[in-house]
Amino acid sequence: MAEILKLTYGIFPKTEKLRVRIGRWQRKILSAKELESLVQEETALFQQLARENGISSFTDPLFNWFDIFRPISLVTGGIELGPLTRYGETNTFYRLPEIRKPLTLEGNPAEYRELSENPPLPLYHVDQGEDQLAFLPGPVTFFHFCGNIAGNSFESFSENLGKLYSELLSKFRFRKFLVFESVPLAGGNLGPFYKSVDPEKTILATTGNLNIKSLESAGKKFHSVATDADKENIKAAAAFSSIPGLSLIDAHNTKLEDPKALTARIDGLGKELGIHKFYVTHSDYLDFLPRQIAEKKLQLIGKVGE
Amino acid sequence: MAEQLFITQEIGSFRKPDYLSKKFHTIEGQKEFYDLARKATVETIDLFEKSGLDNLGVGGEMFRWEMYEHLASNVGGLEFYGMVRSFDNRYYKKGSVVSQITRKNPFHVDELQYVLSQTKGKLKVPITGPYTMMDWSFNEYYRDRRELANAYADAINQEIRELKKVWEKARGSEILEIQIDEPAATTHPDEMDIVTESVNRSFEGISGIEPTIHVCYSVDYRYLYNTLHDLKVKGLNLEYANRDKYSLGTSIEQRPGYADLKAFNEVNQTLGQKKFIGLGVTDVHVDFVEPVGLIKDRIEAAVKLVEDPKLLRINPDCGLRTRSRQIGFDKLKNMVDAVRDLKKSY
Repeated sequence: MAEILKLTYGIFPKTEKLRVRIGRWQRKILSAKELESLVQEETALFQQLARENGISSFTDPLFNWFDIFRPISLVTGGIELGPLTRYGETNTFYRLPEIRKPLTLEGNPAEYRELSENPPLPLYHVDQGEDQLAFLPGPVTFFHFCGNIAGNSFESFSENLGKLYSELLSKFRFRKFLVFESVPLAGGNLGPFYKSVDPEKTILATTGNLNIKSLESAGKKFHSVATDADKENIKAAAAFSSIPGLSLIDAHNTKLEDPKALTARIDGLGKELGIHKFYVTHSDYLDFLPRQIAEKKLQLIGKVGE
Repeated sequence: MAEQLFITQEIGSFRKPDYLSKKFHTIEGQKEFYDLARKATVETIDLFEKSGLDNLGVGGEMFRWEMYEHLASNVGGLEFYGMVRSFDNRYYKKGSVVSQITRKNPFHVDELQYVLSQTKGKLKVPITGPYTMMDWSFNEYYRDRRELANAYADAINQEIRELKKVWEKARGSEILEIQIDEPAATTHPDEMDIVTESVNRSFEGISGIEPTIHVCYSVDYRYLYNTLHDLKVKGLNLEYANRDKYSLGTSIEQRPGYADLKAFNEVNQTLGQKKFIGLGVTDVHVDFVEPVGLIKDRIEAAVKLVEDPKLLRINPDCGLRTRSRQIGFDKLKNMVDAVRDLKKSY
């Protein structure tokens, strides 16, 4: 039986208590400091939930991120918030980051700071556990979903973003990072970005068929590449990372997967492809689900391989 | 002829008064709910009339909390596991389809009956569309997305038939305007055939109605325009102001939010019967009240692009429920004033 590591990442759905408090903060009934204190408490509860369920690696649940670009946009010079925009093929909206100038980090994102259109910083809530990852929207995704007012090429933008992230990560103590690409890599040159963000410390969570040219361009093997679990993808992920990842849990459907069936499937794939260790994760971040279903999905990830 | 130009209309929802919104979920379905929803409807119709709107919709949808949730709570086959985020700290109840979709209760019959009893004005009934209902539901039951969209379409078709009966009792042979709200319509470009099929199926076999479609915040309306040969609607009520600038001017360069009407016009010119555009001229997500001059420039730019002013109706981008009632009113008033000014030149 292959060894199975369990991974969760990205914005996790909030409890009703937190939603209500954020509403109060928006109406100025609750102070930003009081909100931040609750975000810390809820984050600690999430970390406990993840560890109790045997999740090997997880990012901050990003309870203070209004969307996957917003807080980074707000601490970065050169980006302005544009209109509310539909996020891909979902019924979720984000404020378009409009790239107007070269990106520069403004202030220390690890410290408490009040923001005008997002709950307060810090960017990540870290308790020094080795199982914690930094969450970074990847260059392909950021470029795809931004308003490129400055007219950057993908290469120049991603080089700039990589440097920004490198500086940003220096303010925290993460051993590994999760780079989230919610759109397929599609042949883009990842080299300029991964000059500054070490692929060997990176779990690349993406979607669709893996593009070999893009993976090669990173220059080094990734720690992990996780995507849709078909054989060709798994072979590519195994070739370009130390531990291939399988995105087996549907983040866009409430139907609960059967951990026994998933275990049998992974076992079969491991034997057939000669792979002895996998990450198992979800197909997208879990904020598209109601909280109670997201918790059940987390629990069932924990049961895979048990 | 002049009075047919630039019909002003609301898209649907308007901010509920606090006395209704604060109690909505705790009293829904009870006598108190109906008393308050009726009171709010009367007040909103009055406000719309004061703004000068030509089409009063259904008085701001005071009987409905939210476009998805209202319809979802009146169909069988759905389970609710909790709220799902839409943006920032805004949430909606997203149902999971666990068995066959059925029309459990009428969706909007009580609302229409009441509105008809309160006004002789021009009305338009918005109904959340089958594709959006499908896209915003988790599908645990149907084989695929097409099958689920068509199941919703059948339930909506039953609803429209019943609305039509209510309408005929009050208004005889006058045409009933039905606006199918499909904000999700262009979110999966490879599924435009499902959008077309399910929207058409919602109206199938029903005469004496003017079917329209409302879409907003699309990443690319051209997907929608390209369905116009097959989509059996008379017009498209769309959001544009959100993507436009605040500075004045009527050229395409000065009005980037409206530039893709050129693509609409190219398709429209090939149709035997041309469709109209319900032109979004005020942004419903900001408190900034667009001045009359800016709205006039937006309409004039659109006239140049669609070539025939009779093909334009004028509306906000979307329902105004996210703005205060005062700001909503101010936006509608400026919209109407802009149209009144413009009509003098046509």
